[in-house]
Amino acid sequence: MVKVILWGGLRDLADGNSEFEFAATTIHKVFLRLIAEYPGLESELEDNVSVAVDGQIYRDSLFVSLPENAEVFILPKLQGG
Amino acid sequence: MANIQVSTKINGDTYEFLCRPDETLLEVLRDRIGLTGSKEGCASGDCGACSVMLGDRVVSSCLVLGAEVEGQEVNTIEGMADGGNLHPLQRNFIKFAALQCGFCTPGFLVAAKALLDKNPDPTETEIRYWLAGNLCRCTGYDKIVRAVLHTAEEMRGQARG
Amino acid sequence: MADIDRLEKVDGFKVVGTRPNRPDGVDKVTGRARFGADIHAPGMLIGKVLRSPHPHAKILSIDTTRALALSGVKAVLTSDDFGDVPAMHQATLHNVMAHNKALYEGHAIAAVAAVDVAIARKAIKLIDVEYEILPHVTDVDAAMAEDAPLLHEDNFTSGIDPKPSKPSNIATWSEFGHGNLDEGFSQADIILEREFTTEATHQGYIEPHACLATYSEDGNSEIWCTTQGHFLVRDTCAALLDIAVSRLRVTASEIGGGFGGKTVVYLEPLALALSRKAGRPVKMVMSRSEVFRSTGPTSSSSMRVKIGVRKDGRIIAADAHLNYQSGAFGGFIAMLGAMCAYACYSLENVRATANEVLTNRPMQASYRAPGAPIVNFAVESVIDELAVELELDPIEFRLMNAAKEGDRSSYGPVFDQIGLIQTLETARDHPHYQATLAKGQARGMAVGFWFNFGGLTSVSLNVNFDGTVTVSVGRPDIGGSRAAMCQMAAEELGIPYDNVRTIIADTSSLGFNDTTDGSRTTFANGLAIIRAARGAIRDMCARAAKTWDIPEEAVEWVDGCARPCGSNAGDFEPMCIAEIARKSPKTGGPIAGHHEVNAEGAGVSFAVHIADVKVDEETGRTDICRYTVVQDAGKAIHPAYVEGQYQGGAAQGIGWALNEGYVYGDDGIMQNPGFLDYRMPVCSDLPMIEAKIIEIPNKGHPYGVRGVGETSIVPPLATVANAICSATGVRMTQIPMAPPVLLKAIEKNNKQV
Repeated sequence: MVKVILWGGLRDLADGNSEFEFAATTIHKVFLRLIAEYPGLESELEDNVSVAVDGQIYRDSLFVSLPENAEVFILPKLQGG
Repeated sequence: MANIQVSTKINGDTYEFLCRPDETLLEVLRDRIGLTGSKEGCASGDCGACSVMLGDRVVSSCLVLGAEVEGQEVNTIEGMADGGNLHPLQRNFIKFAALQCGFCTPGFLVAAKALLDKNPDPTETEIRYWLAGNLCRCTGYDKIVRAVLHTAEEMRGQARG
Repeated sequence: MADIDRLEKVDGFKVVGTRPNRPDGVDKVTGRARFGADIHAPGMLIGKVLRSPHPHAKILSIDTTRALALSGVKAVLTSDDFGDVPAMHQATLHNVMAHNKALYEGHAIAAVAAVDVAIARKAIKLIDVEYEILPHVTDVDAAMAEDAPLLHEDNFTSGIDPKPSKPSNIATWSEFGHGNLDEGFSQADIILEREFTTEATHQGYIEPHACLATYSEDGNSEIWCTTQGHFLVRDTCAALLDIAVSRLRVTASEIGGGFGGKTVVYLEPLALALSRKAGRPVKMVMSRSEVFRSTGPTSSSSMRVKIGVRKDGRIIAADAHLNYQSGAFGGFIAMLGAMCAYACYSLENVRATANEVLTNRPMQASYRAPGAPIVNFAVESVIDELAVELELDPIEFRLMNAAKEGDRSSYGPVFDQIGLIQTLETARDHPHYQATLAKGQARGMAVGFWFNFGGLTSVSLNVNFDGTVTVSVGRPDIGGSRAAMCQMAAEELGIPYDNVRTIIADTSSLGFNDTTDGSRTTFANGLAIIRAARGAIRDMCARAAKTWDIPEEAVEWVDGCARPCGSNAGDFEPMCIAEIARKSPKTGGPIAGHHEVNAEGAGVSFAVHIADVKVDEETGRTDICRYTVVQDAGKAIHPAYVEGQYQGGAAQGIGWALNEGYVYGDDGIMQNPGFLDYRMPVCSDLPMIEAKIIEIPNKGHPYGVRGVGETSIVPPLATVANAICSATGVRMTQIPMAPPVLLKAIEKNNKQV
């Protein structure tokens, strides 16, 4: 199982929910599972998010493997200067 | 407007060129002579990136008209090295990492050389005020000032033999 | 071979950590280096842009007849010359050339290409534009008012549910945090709530935007330009002009500073479109005034910060609301500000909310740690005030509340390994912090946070027949990064630094590379170069093994040579890179390594700044007398250029704190679009800036590298404000703290006292 947390901006697209627990082995599978349940999340998850796995930030990597009990925090996409 | 014919010396070589009456020395150097080492950062004399020597004065070449240099001597960054040998300031700017992007560097070098030619033993404060007409956005000036201080010391050592 | 993802080298470096001369040094001290405007092409035209004199106006008509009739004019361009573009590029297109409406003074309306600059300048004056002037708004709070003039009639604030019923100038709302604020504040012994404003600043790179574009009759085209990301220029221009990406090759010139401001296109699509129309190369260079009025800057802001603390020094609740003005098109800077607001602290109850606000100002562009310095000024000012109230040393107070591994960050995820506590302790023990203050001086400090990025990276590394190595990277070198690239390749290959050259390749030579921003270049390029080098080493070891007729596993790479290893390997003289390279035509062909990756694991970073200042209470002028930066670099590849990043960021932040700022009149026109009136720090304004590098290895990089470019601009605003407060007793809530502003505040304070 992994713990998935959505940042506040995505909450409304997930019917007000922001915390989930389910089995997933990659970020990709987390996204697929979320989109299946909340189709409104699709375009946001496609283009506008970064993901922190146990605090390590991934800007754009679908196939990162998730350790058991990982915290998967879905953040807005980050940009620098 | 008729073009003006100008004859001058640039980095020791004789040049003759035609320029518009409103054309700046910086435009002449960059666009007519092909010496693009002097940079345009503002065209208003505020940034110093176009600094060149006109006779024994440091000037912002964006504030000098091309026509004004008739019969005068102009020295630019391209003339600072002696053939293949860098001027000690050039060498030390590299050694002390006194440049990041390097865009302001030609102007700083021209201005710093003019300082050391006049004052071989400047204090840090004297260097900071002398170079206050040259903007650098990358370095915070720390390493530039250190490079000039070190060069001055090195050149004094050489002068003493 | 070892697992190449793992952090595996923490000491024993031979080249990394030294300070060699940079490969582009001589070109840059002799004037030979070619920047954006330093190029000419045969038959080249000069392009110029007509810009809106009004901050907000409907464009009723544009008549180009008179301009086109002028002898020497070869093409005139308006928004009609661009077709529909994908939604993601629409704001860019409408920013590079106004579409129906001019949204800020300086907004491009039309462009011309002519045989010389004098004719081009004359031609833009012959373009007749009929405007209907609209009411405008440039202030962030005024733009949020009920009756504010709307920039975009179709803008409904995103990020709130339900969707607003009316359009407004608030582009986006965002919120971060966790815990229960009410409960937190109810437990607080002291609660401070303060309001702050900051003015917009420009990135201030000394080199104006410049490019040369050539569109060929066969549909192929080339752009030479000064940019932080030539791949981004290629893909954006291809989309705006509807040409295939493979048909456009972009070469990055040397770049004269960027700081985030050269991460977007301005002139490039116009020059290419003009070239397509005229059938000749077109060069365009901005004036300084155009740079100020039409590019950058960062946001101005208004902010409210509320922090509650217990008597024992523990921060129990923290709230912040930010309104960032993002210019004529929505951005993401306020959101980043909200994420960074409380990132330095371990907090159970925290919230940061942010509005991205549209105004009639140029579209904001990233500026070094975008969004972070602004909110840091507000938060670190209140933290400082609390330390005073609690009679705690400011660093000790921060240490008591500092974020550490396992804490939930204020922006959401838990922190993994971070070095904030070591950074604060190093600052506390630093000679500067321990030093007795000179007479008439006062001290301030602040701590700052920034994310660092990795991203799309593609590099190639070629071993030449003489054993020297050429590395091609795809990110422009703004601050000396080529030296660091050579160092990492030399380190890995075990060869001298001088045997490696690194070049910035054009967009047709490598796979896509993300822009040089987000403090990513040394981290991400370096990671890819190390892996590319390991690929080449693997190949060279294999060739030695074949030559010796022993198994590949029985060969190791040490100090630039293949050597037999293990008991059964046999006794052979080491075969060094030059020999393997020389023989390579007969052993399988050229030797190369390459690596393509989306580099992740950049690792966040923290910095502590300390300033001693002297304030002249007669004039309100602040002098910075001593300044120290303490920051974690993970591993400093070329320490001199790491120090340079720390010093440069500090200097920019000091400028922002004390002088820089956009000044608008009631007419919505920028009043200081030049370096004389927009005053950046000059040499005599600053002291030496001490740069203390801490090295806490980042496990996401084989050598432990962490980005260093941005964090250093985050703490200076608050550092200087806190020092000014110690000096004068005046708590400034407004940036810039320019002499007249500070003088007024001091006089007001003196009256009250």
